[in-house]
Amino acid sequence: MDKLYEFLVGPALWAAFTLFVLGLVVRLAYFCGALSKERSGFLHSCADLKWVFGSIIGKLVAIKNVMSGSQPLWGIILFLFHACLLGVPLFLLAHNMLWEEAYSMSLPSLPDSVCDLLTVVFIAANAVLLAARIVRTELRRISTTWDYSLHFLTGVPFVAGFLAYHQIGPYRLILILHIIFAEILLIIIPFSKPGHAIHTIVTGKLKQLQSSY
Amino acid sequence: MKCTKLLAVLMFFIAFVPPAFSQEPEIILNHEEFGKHQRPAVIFPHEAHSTKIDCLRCHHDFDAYSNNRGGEGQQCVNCHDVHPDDGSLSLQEAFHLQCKECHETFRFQGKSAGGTMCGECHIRKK
Ligand code: HEC
Ligand code: HEC
Ligand code: HEC
Ligand code: HEC
Repeated sequence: MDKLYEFLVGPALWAAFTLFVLGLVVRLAYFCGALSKERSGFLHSCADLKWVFGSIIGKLVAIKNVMSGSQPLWGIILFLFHACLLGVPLFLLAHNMLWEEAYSMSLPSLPDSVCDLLTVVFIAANAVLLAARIVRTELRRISTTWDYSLHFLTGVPFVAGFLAYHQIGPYRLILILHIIFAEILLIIIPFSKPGHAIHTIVTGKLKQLQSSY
Repeated sequence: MKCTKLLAVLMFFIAFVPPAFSQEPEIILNHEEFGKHQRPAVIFPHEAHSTKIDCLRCHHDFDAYSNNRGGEGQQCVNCHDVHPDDGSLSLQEAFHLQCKECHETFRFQGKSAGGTMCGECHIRKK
């Protein structure tokens, strides 16, 4: 298991991180390309920054409307989910210690007790969103297997990290599972259809707005 | 009678009171210099190390020519500050570098050694 651990925090981490960055680049190119179909091609629309920013700002405004509009609680849970998903791994003391040791660079870090709490918040938010997916018929109808997989894939590293920190269960096995699933998640994030959940609500909200005009 | 009692007391001290510079078999590393600890204290089996590994491998006190004259009896914190202001090794880094690096090398060679993962050294009391 020592060799596996060394491999996971060494070459495997590099591979996962490289795929993460590559995935983001591909995804961004795809995004521009898809948007430009109705326009005059990929390069043109990418150069047309005003239009690109306009469409991004349009999306942000729509999200803000959801948060302050008819479903504020929904918006807050979505926000907590994503803030913890990014924030906890980035500002966790143990991660930053390891980055400092390996690459001599690190971010500021939160106290372990704060991250512990935020991990619980994340797991709870994930559970609430999953429950809503199952309970609310309009959400269930549009949910795909992939959507359910994403709840699982984002949940496992957090649950395993929580168990490892509290040293519940077989420590070494759990820490190794934590790392494996976190690396899988890192590779998947660029392709996770960001806004898969928000998107449906936003479009619903937009339709609602349009019909009220 | 008195003499034998005195002798018995003397024998007791010679037998059971350890000499001044002997070491505990286990040292609990829980330095108050860190302030409130984030992680559980580390139980360090000093004897298991010092009977196999040269003292100078861990204890050091370098002279002007970088010769290691040994620093046994000194605490690491005497020279490695918790928050060094000259950019040198912090106390936490000193411990982690020394302990983990050696364990990693040993384990990588397939030999038994102490922990390399956080929870193998910072063990929570059950
Ligand atoms: C694997 C590393 C290691 C080896 C080998 C080692 N020590 Fe230590 N020793 C330590 C650490 C770590 C401490 C705790 C220092 C501290 O509390 O800052 C310590 C503490 C001590 C202390 C107590 C210091 C105090 O004030 O509490 C003495 C004395 C000592 N060692 C002597 C020795 C001698 C003699 C040897 C060789 C036979 C030896 N050590 C080998 C790591 C080692
Ligand atoms: C008498 C002062 C002194 C004491 C006591 C001391 N150190 Fe050091 N240590 C130094 C100095 C000075 C350096 C820097 C050496 C250099 O730059 O080459 C150093 C370097 C180190 C390094 C990095 C260099 C290396 O590869 O070894 C580690 C790790 C370290 N110390 C750990 C410890 C630990 C653990 C203890 C307690 C067992 C300890 N030190 C006790 C003075 C001390
Ligand atoms: C120079 C190499 C070296 C250094 C430095 C070192 N260790 Fe070890 N450690 C070992 C070896 C080798 C063993 C295995 C001893 C055995 O099997 O008898 C071991 C065993 C241990 C164990 C016992 C593991 C078990 O399964 O019982 C603990 C705990 C431990 N080390 C903690 C530490 C800590 C804490 C430090 C730093 C203060 C440290 N070690 C520094 C080589 C080292
Ligand atoms: C080889 C054993 C070892 C491993 C592995 C190890 N540590 Fe430590 N750590 C120590 C020792 C020894 C100290 C000094 C503790 C003391 O003297 O108070 C320490 C100190 C610390 C401290 C400062 C004191 C505190 O509790 O606030 C933190 C934080 C810490 N370690 C976190 C970690 C994290 C996170 C990991 C995993 C990434 C880790 N350690 C892995 C041995 C280890």
